[in-house]
Amino acid sequence: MNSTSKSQNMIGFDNIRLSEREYERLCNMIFSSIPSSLLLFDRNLRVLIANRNFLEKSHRTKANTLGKHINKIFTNVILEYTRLRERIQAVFKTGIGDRGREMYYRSHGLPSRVYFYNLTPLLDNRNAVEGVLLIMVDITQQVSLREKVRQTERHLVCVVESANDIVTSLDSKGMITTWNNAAEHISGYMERELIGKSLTSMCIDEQKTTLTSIIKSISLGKTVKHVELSLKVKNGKIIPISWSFALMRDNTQAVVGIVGVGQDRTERRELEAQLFQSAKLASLGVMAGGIAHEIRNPLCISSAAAQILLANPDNEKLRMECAEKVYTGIKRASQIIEDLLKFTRPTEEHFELLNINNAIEETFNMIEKQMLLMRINVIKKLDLHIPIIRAEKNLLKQAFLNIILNAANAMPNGGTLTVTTLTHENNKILIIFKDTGCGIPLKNIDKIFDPFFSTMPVGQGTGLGLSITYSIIKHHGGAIHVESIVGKGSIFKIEIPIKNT
Amino acid sequence: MSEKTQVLIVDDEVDICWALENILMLEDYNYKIHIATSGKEGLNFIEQLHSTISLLILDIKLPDIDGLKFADFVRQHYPQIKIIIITGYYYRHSDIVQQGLANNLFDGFIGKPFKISEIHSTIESIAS
Repeated sequence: MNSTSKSQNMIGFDNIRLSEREYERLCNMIFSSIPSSLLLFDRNLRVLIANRNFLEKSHRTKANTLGKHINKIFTNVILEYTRLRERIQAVFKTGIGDRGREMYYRSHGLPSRVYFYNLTPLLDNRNAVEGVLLIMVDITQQVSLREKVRQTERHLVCVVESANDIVTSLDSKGMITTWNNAAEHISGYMERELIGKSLTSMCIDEQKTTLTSIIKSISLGKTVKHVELSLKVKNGKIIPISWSFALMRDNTQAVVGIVGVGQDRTERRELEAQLFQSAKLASLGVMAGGIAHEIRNPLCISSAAAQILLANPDNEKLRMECAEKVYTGIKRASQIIEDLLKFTRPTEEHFELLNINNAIEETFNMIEKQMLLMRINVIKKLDLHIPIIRAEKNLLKQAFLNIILNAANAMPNGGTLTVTTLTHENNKILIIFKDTGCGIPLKNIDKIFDPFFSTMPVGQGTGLGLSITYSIIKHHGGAIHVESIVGKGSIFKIEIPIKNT
Repeated sequence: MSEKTQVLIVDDEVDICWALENILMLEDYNYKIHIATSGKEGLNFIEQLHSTISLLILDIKLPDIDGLKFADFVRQHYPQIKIIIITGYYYRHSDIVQQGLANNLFDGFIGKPFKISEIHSTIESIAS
């Protein structure tokens, strides 16, 4: 290299006066401190310069590298695979550098490493190619990381595709970007049919606004767990699905989308329905004594009146009276049976607009007599302006009945059961049952909603009542709490959201 | 029986009282019937008329007072009053009924619904 090319190539060195010797030393220093392997080839493919990095990585000495032909530097396999000789010759010919490629290079006795290399022509002042610089950057680590990322990606894809639950990703506007196998299977819609469509559009009409507001609140950073939203699937069926949503962010915390995982609740619903049904039968068993009494009274009236009539057929006045009593008794008995049937009939999934006070009144009507007999004074403090909610009336009656029966059992010598309804913070209604019974010991208070937990003698309680109540209240998106003082009584507090779905 | 037998019927079911009254009155028996439709009312009758009442027909499931305690009270204080309990709540073979009869807490049991003949035979068996 002459001094002209020196000033041309080394911009910035103009103002520094360096002797030829100092300049060469500086060049060598830079050359050897670069963390990449550098080899400069001449037209005959012999090595003009090899930097320290190359010599160290390839375990070679200056002596067996400098001035050697490329064939002595790289194995034939590498040369043939990379076509490095031809490429270098091409650069000499065209004066145009070669873009980067990857090369697996393995020195004798060392593990193989991956290099990213490119070829740069060094031009003299007549623009002729004086030499070709091979720059090799060791990317072994990056490549292994890349492999790991790919593996993780494949693993995730596998997980998502083999999952039994719907896994879908949405963009921040709620448009579907991915839709896994399970989602295709459950919904009947293929991924390609849905990409770019909004998840909301698949929701049943009355839940569309709910999902829209959920997506909005997730975009604002909230995590939403266990929302029940039903999808209308391809064959027109409505599938209840329990969803969890989470926000996807990139490294800069910017929102890139939403992931939704949805579990098909159909089977669970069916099981729940069965459980509710068996619980109804169980509470019926608990009520049986009361029912027998309920029904024997009107039967007794009809039967006695009929017998009196038979014994005194000629008494005009008595005849009318007897007929009337027979009729009244039968009417009463059939009313009781009717109520029972209503109660035990399997409930269809049916949310309706409901005034909670009515459900409470109807529940008490069923067991009014039993309350009287047990000398339980029922006080109702019902808020007449209680908002209407969407609820399954029969299920709620079941839930209330279980609490009432539980309270009655806690007051074997009679007492007072106060039921209060009120609106709380404008977004939920509270239903409070307060008894003056024996109370629940502290050690039991966490267990009372557990299935089969019962303090009643074997055969007298199923231990299912309150656990059913619990699941019914959950089913309505509500909550139930209990406070109790042994010897004073218990308070069951039920919350049901007003805008539940 | 020259004097009328005074009977107190205690049942919160008005129609049951009506039936019992008719069953007793329409037969050739010589009864005077008092009717109470609550435990309290029944106790009032007992307090006032215990010297004349000889038979108590008592529903043991009353809304205000436990009928068995009612019976016990009467037995303690006015042992001359015969007691027949009447209920739709227990069967004749129920423990509470069997024990009550064995321990002489009451003298007779009638289950609802009943036959007219049962009423008569129970009363007769007690009287004898």
